[in-house]
Amino acid sequence: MPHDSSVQSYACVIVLSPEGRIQAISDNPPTGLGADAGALIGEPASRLFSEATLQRINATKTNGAPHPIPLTAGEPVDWNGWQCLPRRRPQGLLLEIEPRSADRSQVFVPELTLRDFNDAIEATTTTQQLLQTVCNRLGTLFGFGRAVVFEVDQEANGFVSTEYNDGSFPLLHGVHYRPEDFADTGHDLYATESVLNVITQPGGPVRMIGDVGGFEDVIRQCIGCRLPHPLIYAFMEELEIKTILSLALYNHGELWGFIFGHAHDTIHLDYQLRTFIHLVGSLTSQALTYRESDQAHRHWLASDHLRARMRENIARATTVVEGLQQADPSLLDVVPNTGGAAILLENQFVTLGATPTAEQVLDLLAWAGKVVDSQAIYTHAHLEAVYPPAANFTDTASGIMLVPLNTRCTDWIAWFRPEFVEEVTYGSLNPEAQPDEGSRFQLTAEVRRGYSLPWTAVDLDAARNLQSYIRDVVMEKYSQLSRVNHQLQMAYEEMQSFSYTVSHDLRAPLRGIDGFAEIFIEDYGAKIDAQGQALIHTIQQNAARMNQYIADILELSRVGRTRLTVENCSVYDLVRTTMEALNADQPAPVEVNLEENMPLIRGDAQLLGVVFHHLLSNAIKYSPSTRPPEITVGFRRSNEFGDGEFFVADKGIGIPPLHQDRVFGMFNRLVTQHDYAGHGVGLAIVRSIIIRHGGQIRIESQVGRGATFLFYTDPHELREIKTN
Amino acid sequence: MYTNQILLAEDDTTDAEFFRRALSRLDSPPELVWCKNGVEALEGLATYSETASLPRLAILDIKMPGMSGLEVLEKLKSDARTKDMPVIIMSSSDEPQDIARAYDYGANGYLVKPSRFQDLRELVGSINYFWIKTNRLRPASS
Repeated sequence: MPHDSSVQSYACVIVLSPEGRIQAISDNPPTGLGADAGALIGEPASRLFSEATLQRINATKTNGAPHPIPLTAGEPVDWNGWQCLPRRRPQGLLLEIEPRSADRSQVFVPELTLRDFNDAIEATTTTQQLLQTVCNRLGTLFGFGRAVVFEVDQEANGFVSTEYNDGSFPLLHGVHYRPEDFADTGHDLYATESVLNVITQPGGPVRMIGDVGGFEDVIRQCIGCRLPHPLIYAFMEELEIKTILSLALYNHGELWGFIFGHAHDTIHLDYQLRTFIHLVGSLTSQALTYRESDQAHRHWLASDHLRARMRENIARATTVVEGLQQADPSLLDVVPNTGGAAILLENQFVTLGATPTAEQVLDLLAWAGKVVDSQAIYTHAHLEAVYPPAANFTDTASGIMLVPLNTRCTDWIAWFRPEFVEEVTYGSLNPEAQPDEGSRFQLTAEVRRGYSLPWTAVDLDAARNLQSYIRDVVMEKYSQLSRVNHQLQMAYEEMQSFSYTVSHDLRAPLRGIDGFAEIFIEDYGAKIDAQGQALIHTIQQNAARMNQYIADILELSRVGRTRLTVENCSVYDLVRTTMEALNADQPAPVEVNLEENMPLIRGDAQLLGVVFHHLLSNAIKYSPSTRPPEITVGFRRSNEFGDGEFFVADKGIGIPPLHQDRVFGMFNRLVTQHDYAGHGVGLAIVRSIIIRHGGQIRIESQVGRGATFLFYTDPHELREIKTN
Repeated sequence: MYTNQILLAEDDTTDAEFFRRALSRLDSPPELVWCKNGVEALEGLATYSETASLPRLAILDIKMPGMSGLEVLEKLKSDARTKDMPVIIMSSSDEPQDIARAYDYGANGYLVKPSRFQDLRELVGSINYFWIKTNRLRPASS
C-alpha cells in the first residue's frame, strides 16, 4: 500500500486537527482560493467553511455514518454546490467534500424506488432470476451500459455469471478471471463499505498533502473517493470504461462476489445514491443467503435417508472402516459427483472407485496432516496449485475434499473429483504469455486443465455430518475398548492369583495321596503281593502326574507374575545354554544349526530362555526317531528397518494347519501321551511369554514336513504387570 | 538346655500326620507338640514357665486360620522369653517373595513342603541333626 495516502480526484478530502486547523488536504483544493494545497496546512478551518457549517461539522458524533452538509453560497470559498461528509474519530475530523449527483427527483424517489427493488427481488424464485433482476435495474436506473455479477470462488478465481448489457459493450457473460486479475488484497476495500464508485480522471489520483495523522485506514477503506486496486485502472483503460460501480455481495456474512456496473461516460454517484445502492446490495445479499440456505436445506432433507443408512451401516459393522466400505450407500453416494474415495482409519487403508495410487494418496494425506486444521474440512478444486505432485494424478484427483477424523490428523476420509476439462474464456491473457503494455485484459480462450467441478456447501455439509458421526462412534468404541481392556486386565490378574492359590491348595491333598501311598509301601509293602503293590504304584503314578500338571500351571501363572528385566539378549547364548541342559538327557548330543548375523532379541533373559527351552525341546521330541534331529534357529527379515521374526524350525512330524491354533492352548496335544512324553503346556507358556513381551508367535507347518515357529518381541509394547 | 520337643503349628491334619510319621522314623526322635493353629501355638508356648524349658524348635505353616504363621513368628520374636527360640517356616509356596518375607519377619529357616515321603524324611532328618547339634552349645549369655 502506498505510504502517502491518495484519493480519487473527483472529491476533496480534508483532515482537521482537534483544534480545528487544517492538518492535511488533498492536492485539489477548490479553485478561487488563491492558494495551493500546501499553503493551507495549519490554517484554521474557517478559511474554508462558514461559522454555521463549522458548527454542524463539529456536532458530528464519533464513528457514526456521516450526515451530509450542503455547502451553499454563504461559504468563504466557492464549493460549487458540493456537500461535506464529516467523519469524527478520536484523532480529529476527516471531511470528504464531493459533488452532488444530477437532480433526478422527478424520476427517482429513493423510498419508492427501493420498494420497487424489494418487490422485484421478492418476486424472483431462483438465484439466477434474483441476480438478473438486480443487474437489469441497476444498469437502467443509473445509466450503466453493462452490469455483471462477478462470482468469486475459494481460490479467488472469478466468473461472470450474470449480465445486463444494452449493446454498447462487448458481452462478458461466462468469462473467467484468474486470481491475479482481481487480487483479493482488493477485497478489503469493501470491508467497511460495500459500494465503490471509480471514475477515471485525467491526471489520475491526487495525493494527500500534510499529515493525515491516523486516518490512513479511513482514507483507504471508508470514504467514497477511496482508491480501487491499481489493476482496476488498467482494466478500465484497456476496455475503455470511464466509470465503474462496484457493489460487494455477501452470503452468510462471507464475501460472495460483486456486481460491477460499467459505463463509457462519467457517472458520479453521490453519497445519497451510494447509500441507496448499499441498501440494494444488502437486500440482494440477504435474498442470496436465504435462497442458498433454502436450497441447501431442501437438498439436505432429500439426502437425509442416505446419511441415515450410512450411519446404520457403520453402527452395525464390526469396524468403522467396514461400515464405510459398504456399497449401499457408498461414500460416493453420500457426496455425489465424486469419482473415488479413500479411508485411513484404525490402521486400515481402503480406497473406493477411481483414486490415485495408494502411495500417492498416503503421501497426500501425510502432507495434509501438516496443513489442515483438525476441526476443518479441506477442499480444493485445482490441487496442483497447492500440492505440485497432484499434477501426476489430475485424471483421478484434480479436486479433493479431505476430512480429518482425529485431532492428530492421522485418520482421514478423502473424496476425489476427476479432472473436468473444459474450454474456458478468460478475460485476461495467460500470465505466462508476457503481455505488452496495455494488453492484459484480452479475451483468451484456453482449455482449462487440472480443475475439477467445484465443491459446494452441500458437499461440505454432508462430509461434516459424517465426520462428526464417525468421531462419536470412534470415541465410543475407544472408551468401550478401554473398559474392555481394563476388564481384561483385571480378569487376567484374578486368574493369575487364582492359579497361584489353587495350585498351592491342590498340593496339600496330593501330598496326602502320594506321600501316604509311599508310607503304605514302606510299612506294608512286604505284606502284600505284587498285584497289590502294582495297584499302589498306579496311585502314586497318577499323583505324580497330577503334581506335574500343577507344576506346569504354576509355571504358566508365574510368567505373568514375575517382574521383567529387559535387556538385549544374544540368541546364540540363549540357544547354547538351553542345548547344554537338554543334551544332558539325550543319548547323543543334538546339534542345532544357528544362522549367521542374527540380531539381538530384546526381553527378559530368563523367560526368553524358557521360550527356547520349550521350542527346542519340542523340536527334538517331535523329530523322526530314524535320524538325528535337524533343527535351525535364525531370523527372517521383513523390511529394511530391522523388523522381522526369529524362528525355530525342525524337520519333524509337523502340525496340520487346522490344528495350528490349538497347539498353543493348555494341555492340548495332538498326539497320544504314550508316543511322546510331556504334558503339552510348554507352548502355552511360550505364547504367554511372547505376548508378555508385546510380540506374537505363529506357526508355518505341514504334516510330515516339519514345523517352523516364528516369533518376535516388541520392546515398545512390553507390558509390566504389577506383582503382588 | 531346651527340652527335646519340637512344636509344629499346622492346620492341615494330613500334613501334620505326614510330618509326624517322618519324624517318628528318626533314631530317638524328639517329642512332637502339635498345635492346630497360631493362637493355640502361642497359648501353648505361654504355658512354659521358663525359657530353658521351651521346645528347641518351632515349625510353623504360613497359611492357618485366624493368625498366620508369620504373625505368630512376629509375636515370638518380639517377646523376650521366646525370641531366641529357633523358628522354621514350612510352606507349600516356593515363591521368592514369600521366602523373602518370612526372613524379614525373622525366620531362622524356610523350607518347602516336599510331596514325597522320602524327601520329607531326609528333610526332617537334617533339621533334627542341625538343631540338636547346635543346641548343645549354650548361648554365651543366658
